[in-house]
Amino acid sequence: MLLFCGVCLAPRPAFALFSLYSKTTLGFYRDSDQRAHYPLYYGFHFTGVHAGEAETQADLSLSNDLSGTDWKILPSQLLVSIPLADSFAEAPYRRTRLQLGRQFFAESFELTLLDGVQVPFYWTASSGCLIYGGSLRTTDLVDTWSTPLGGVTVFSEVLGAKARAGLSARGTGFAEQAVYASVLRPFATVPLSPTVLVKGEMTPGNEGGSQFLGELQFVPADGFVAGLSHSIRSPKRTSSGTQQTLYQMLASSAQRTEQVWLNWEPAPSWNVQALVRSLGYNSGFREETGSQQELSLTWTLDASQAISPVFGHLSGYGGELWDAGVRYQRKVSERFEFLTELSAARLDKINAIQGWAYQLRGNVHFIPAQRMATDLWVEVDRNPLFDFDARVIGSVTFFH
Amino acid sequence: MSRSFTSLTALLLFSIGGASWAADSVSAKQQTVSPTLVAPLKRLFSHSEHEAPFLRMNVACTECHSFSVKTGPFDPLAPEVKKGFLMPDRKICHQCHLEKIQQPRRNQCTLCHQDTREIMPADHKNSWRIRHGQFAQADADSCKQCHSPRTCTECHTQRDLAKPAVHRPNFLMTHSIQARANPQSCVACHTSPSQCTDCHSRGKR
Repeated sequence: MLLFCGVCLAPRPAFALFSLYSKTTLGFYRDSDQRAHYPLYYGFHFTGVHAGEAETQADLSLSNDLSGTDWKILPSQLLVSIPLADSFAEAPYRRTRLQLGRQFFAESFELTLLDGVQVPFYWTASSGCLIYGGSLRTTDLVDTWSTPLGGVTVFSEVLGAKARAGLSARGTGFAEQAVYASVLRPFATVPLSPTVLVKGEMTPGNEGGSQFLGELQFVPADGFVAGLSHSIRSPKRTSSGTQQTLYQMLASSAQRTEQVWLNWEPAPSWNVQALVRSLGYNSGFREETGSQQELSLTWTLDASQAISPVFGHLSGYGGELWDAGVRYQRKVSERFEFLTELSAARLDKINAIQGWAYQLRGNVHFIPAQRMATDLWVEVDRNPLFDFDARVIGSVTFFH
Repeated sequence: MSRSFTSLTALLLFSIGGASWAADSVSAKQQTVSPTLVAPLKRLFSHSEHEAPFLRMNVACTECHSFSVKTGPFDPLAPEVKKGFLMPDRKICHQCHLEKIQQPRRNQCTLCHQDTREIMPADHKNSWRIRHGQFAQADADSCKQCHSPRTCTECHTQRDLAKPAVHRPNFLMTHSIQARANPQSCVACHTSPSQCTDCHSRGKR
């Protein structure tokens, strides 16, 4: 009934629009036991705009390693979006609608898939609420884990700030409840033009599940942007069972992260990015710390080519890594472009594997016909496990 | 922990509220220069290339051309109609080409725009790969000005192809150091432990 009313209330354009493309990918590599693997992937992607401006997006994939028989069908998105009201003239991308099906879900600190419904409801162009409910799924889609979830978020622009607040309940009997809020406020007319983001989630009865993010970005000079942030993250189960998530295999506590970054454009064709990070969590044995530093430059020679060297250092209880690399990419014509990347890394791992790792990889993207595109990836490695390892991935995409 | 968390949050929100009251209202910096197109505007759109799909989709002339003229309400001698009143603006093109119709090119915007950096918002150039998540979560619908939900799922959930460039080079050798230094970084795309056990226990990859 709601669907019928939604279709009746929404304006009706005269046309419907469909776009469909499919991609077949085949790869080859040998593992450390010298067994050959032939991963095969087929992806089907459909976008439709129907009468009443309802939209459909479907992404289905079929994958297998041809050396085995383990076929998987993975629907990563099966979404129908039905408008329930007109959009706003000043913000045509804001529209009250019903989103039904498997869809990406990113509310509060969540980042996963939701099999269910989301209803963003706008009472003005800048305020409204989001009602959601369904079953959360892991993004890897290889397990059948799921957990029920329901909640509501209210959002508005207040005094120039984008504010959101809501509550949710998940798990068996919706026993795991959370209250969350966020505020994003840019100050363009204040010296240094700061932008402040504060976000928090509290889980009553489970203090270890609370999460926080605070970020400050400022602009000391034209072309120069810097920022710092502090976060405490505790990724949640996407299962109502007792199995561990990937995060819980590595950490038994929330993870704190402090980071400082800067972005500098000394000239329109130059971009410099630097990042320094400090990390900490409890691994279940003891308190672990980590640090990361990264410097990358991008020199855009012209609209069709760019060179990007990058330098990095990472250390933690898993070992230490120094790496350096350079990437060159070029668009030769509307139908042909390529990139190539060379990297060297010095590793010292906790399992006593030490040494150098080198990789040369390249990609060629070619459009042989109006409705067809091809990609070829080649990767050559030399590292403590492989004297010489080559991997190839080829794909063909048809646009129907 | 909860008391200090509450106090800190309250202090920050009070500070933000005070600064909001003191500052002028904010509006985003508007782009004043038109982005460079791959062809002059008059040649950018080809009626002949669109004829067949428009016929198939039952698109009428009035879907793009408004044929409406606005003149002064009290001026019987209306000014000459300018051509711009009869030509559709770019929003008409975006209705179909903004992440709905897929063309065989990496970046759909390059169909018309010569340099995507010109149309990219300024904040996308500031360490956007590591920071876009919190801004998308703060206002997801604002991303719809240029992106569809598939933009998110292509990286975070799509599993129908191998994407070598998602990870840094030598990731096969270095991912254990990355995972143990920053385990939370893995869950942006991987939440199931089978991502680890497929190789380390079952020898599948």
